[in-house]
Amino acid sequence: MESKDILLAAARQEAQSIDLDLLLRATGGHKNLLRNLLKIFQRNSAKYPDLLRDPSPDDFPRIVHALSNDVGALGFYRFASFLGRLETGLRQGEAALPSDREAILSILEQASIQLKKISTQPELKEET
Amino acid sequence: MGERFSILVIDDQEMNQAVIAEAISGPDRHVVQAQSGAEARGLARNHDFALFLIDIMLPDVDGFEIAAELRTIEEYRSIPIIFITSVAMQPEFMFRGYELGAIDYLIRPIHPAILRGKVDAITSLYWMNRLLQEQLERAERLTEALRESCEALSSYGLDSRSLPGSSPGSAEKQNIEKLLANNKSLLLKNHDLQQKHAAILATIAFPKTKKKRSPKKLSDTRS
Repeated sequence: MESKDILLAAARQEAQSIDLDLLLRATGGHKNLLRNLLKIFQRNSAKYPDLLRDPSPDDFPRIVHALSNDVGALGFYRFASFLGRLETGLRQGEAALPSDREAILSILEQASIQLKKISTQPELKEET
Repeated sequence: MGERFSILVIDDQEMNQAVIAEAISGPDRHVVQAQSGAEARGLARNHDFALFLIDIMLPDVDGFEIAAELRTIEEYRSIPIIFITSVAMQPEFMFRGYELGAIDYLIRPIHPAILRGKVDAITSLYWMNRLLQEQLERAERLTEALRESCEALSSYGLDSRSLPGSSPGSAEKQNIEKLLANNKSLLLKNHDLQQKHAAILATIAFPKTKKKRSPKKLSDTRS
């Protein structure tokens, strides 16, 4: 299994370099799909800080799983890999570290800021 | 609206559902989504699905269990299944999926184009299967008609009273014999074709006949 630290570093880097091209590549160029995913993501991502504050050992892998699916759908493959690695470890009995939760929230915050900017770009305006 | 290829997608994550729906939708498809194993069970009983896309990690049951349950329904014994996962990536999980008759085991994140390509291939196979079924049914009907015709011609030709003024070697008798020989040859060719169609259909994993069910509760269908 790849080191969690390496995956985390890659995920941090990815969150800073999100752009419209990356998102469109991940969604096969379907702007409607991308708009829809961005709306769902903005709604979902607002829930994660609360969910991740003090999750039970049973809940934590489930939350990580859901977030991994969400970010993967948008094309954040490195972040999804980190979360996938974390989830697998948790399900195999690895301890849930506060530093993991902090790292997730920090990347999520960075990604959300970038996505908010992207979602207002004229290229993504809905055709009337 | 004519017949459509019905696909059941079992996945509880909203973003996954959005990606899958966009990737696999089409005018010849009917995409139905279930968010849990329980919902999938109910939908499977009231629809005729030709493909299942199943996420391994569902809230109430794992995807393998729901696939095994679906396999116990006669009409779904040979329906193609594609498993999707972002966590069950170890070989033992994949083997389990293929043992349940999966034709693919996809690891997330999935690019829409990849999923579309796979579903398009299965959809084409489905329509070819339907065409072949129709041809087989037509061949069966033709075989029956030819057999009846041969029987009628044989008895007509053997009964001399049916051929007034005819004698052995007469033109009428020769025509009937020629017609009978043609029909017999056609019957053999058609029977051969029928057997070939049946052999091809036996190798394709779709049910031979569509179930006839009265549609019940469709209100909970999101498609």
